[in-house]
Amino acid sequence: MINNKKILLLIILSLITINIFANELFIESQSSGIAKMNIAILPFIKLEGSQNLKELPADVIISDFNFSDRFNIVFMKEPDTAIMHKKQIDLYIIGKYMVKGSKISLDCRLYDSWTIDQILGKKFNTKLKHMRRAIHLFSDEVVFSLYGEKGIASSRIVCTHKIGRGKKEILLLDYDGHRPHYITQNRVLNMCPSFSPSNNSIIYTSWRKGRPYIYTTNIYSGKTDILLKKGSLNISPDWNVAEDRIVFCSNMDGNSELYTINADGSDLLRLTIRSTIEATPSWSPNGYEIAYTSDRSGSPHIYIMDNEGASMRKLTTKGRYNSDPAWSPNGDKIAYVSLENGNFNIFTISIDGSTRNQLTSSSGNNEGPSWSPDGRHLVFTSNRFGKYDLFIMNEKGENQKKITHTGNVTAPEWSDY
Amino acid sequence: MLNSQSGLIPFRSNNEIEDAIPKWMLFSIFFHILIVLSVIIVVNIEKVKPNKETVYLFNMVEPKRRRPIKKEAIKPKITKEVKKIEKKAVKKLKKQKVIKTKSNEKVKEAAPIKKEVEIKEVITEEEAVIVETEEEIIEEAISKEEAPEKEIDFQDFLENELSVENKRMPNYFQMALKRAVERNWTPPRELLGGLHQLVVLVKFTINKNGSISNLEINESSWNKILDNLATRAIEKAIFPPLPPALGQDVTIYYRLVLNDK
Repeated sequence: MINNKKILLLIILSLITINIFANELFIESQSSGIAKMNIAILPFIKLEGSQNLKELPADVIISDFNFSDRFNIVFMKEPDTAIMHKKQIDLYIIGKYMVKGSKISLDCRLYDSWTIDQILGKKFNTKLKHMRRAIHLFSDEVVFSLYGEKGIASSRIVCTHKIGRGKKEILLLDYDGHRPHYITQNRVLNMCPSFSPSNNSIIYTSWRKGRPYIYTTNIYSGKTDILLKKGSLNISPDWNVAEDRIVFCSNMDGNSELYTINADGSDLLRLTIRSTIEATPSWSPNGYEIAYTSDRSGSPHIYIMDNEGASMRKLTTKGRYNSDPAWSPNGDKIAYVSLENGNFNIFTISIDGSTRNQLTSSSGNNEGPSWSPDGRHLVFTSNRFGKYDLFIMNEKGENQKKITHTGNVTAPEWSDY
Repeated sequence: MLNSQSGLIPFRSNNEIEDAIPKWMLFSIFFHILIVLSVIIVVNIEKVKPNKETVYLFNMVEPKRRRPIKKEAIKPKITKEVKKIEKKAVKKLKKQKVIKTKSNEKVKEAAPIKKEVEIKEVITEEEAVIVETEEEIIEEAISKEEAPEKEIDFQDFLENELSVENKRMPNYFQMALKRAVERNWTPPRELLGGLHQLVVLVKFTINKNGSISNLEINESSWNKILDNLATRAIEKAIFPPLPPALGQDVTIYYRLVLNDK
């Protein structure tokens, strides 16, 4: 009897542990939905007199197409159209490169495998360190000529990187995590970064003068301007493309309220008047409405109001802590963070509040969602592997890929096109 | 016997005493009967109880309409007739044998023999006819059993197809167009009603920058909702830019199909 009991206990315990481990694995499966195009990528030909390259252009194209979820990639060594026809591959990419010193010239072409017609061709002459960016531009053109929508390969992500206690710097990355570039290097607390229209500047909150104020820094010139000198706490700005207005959260009138202002600091308009906390505003793509978090119902929920503070309505009903809304560029969904079973997870909800989907689960805390410019991907930060790092997933929560490796990276924002 | 001496209480004779049943016996009999009756009642109580009313639970939401059940091919009745004929033939064969044996062994009456002979002759003729017809009927039955199985697929199921007039379209562009339109083409199956297939032919022109013009329905499916869904699918689609081989614009005929495969 005792032996049987022990065996039973062992079996039950082993089943439980297997279940625990299964829960900690996050879902990584092929994205479903649109049928993907078959495309063959051939290695770029090194022209005579060229030096060697550490990073091959063909590898950058492959990684771009993997992220884009639009292609089934086949890597071939030589253009063999017979094999391509057999495997029903309609297109292939081939190119040439020449490296001399610190300069590179690239010649990238997209061919139809049935007629051997050139569909697209691009030439680049640039510095060697910009090779990735040139290839990203070519990948985007390929996606546009095949799908009618521009790709996301040349888009960028801005985030905060914690470098010490109470010190965070604003960091600008390519969408795949490469080519990091620090926007601020003032060794104070900088947070809540966001892009300006046409992606020329970053707008963020900084404690560089001892108090949190909103600043804009031009990416290329480094010139920094303060947005508003009023108040003692101005945070979480969001810049709208359509109307060129900035919405932010401030306590200049006592309580934490939402205001909109022009980019040059004029025409300040107060939007909310209640004594409860309103925070984390996010513009709709057309600039008519703002989604934000408010705890006027007792616990934080997502609300939507128009750009003058009227017509407020509550969007989320389930969950006891919902915040940090991000409005999709397609205008039909809002991604937000919700606390469930002690962990923060990312959800999407449709604009009328009807359809609610959970995108992350059982993988630590997942926060700070931000949409890609085509609305098909999300970037977020997660501490599932210990430290907070950035991840990209598609709009259904599939194909979650880690893009940073240093840790302590939070508050991502994806640029527009 | 004090009671008898008072004179007030009627005197019971010894016979009566012997005849009268004692009280304890009466009570015991009564209780026994009670027990038996209660047992009978308890055993049969379910039959006595009224049946529970059946309550029909129903959904307020209409259930999905079932597709009409395909009628199975009616099996030819000839098989039964064939069986009957076979049985008759067997019986007649038996009768024949009996008759033969009888005629071989004993002949009791002349009349019956004659009748039997006549019957035999008649039977043989009938048998011959029946055998022939039997074979024919069996062959017909077999052929008819095969034919209905072929007739179930009476319509060919079509596919979504696109075609261009006067121009040759590169393969990748055709796939890109199909992908762009069929991504939005998800009509609900309920539109079919009882039919097996609905087909609508749409005609439109794609300009060089990817915009649509001259969108019209070439051949309607006679279902207005499906036609509208088809035009919506084309309007919503995001088309890639035209390859240079196709020129300024291209007119496309797109056949969109809904079937219950």
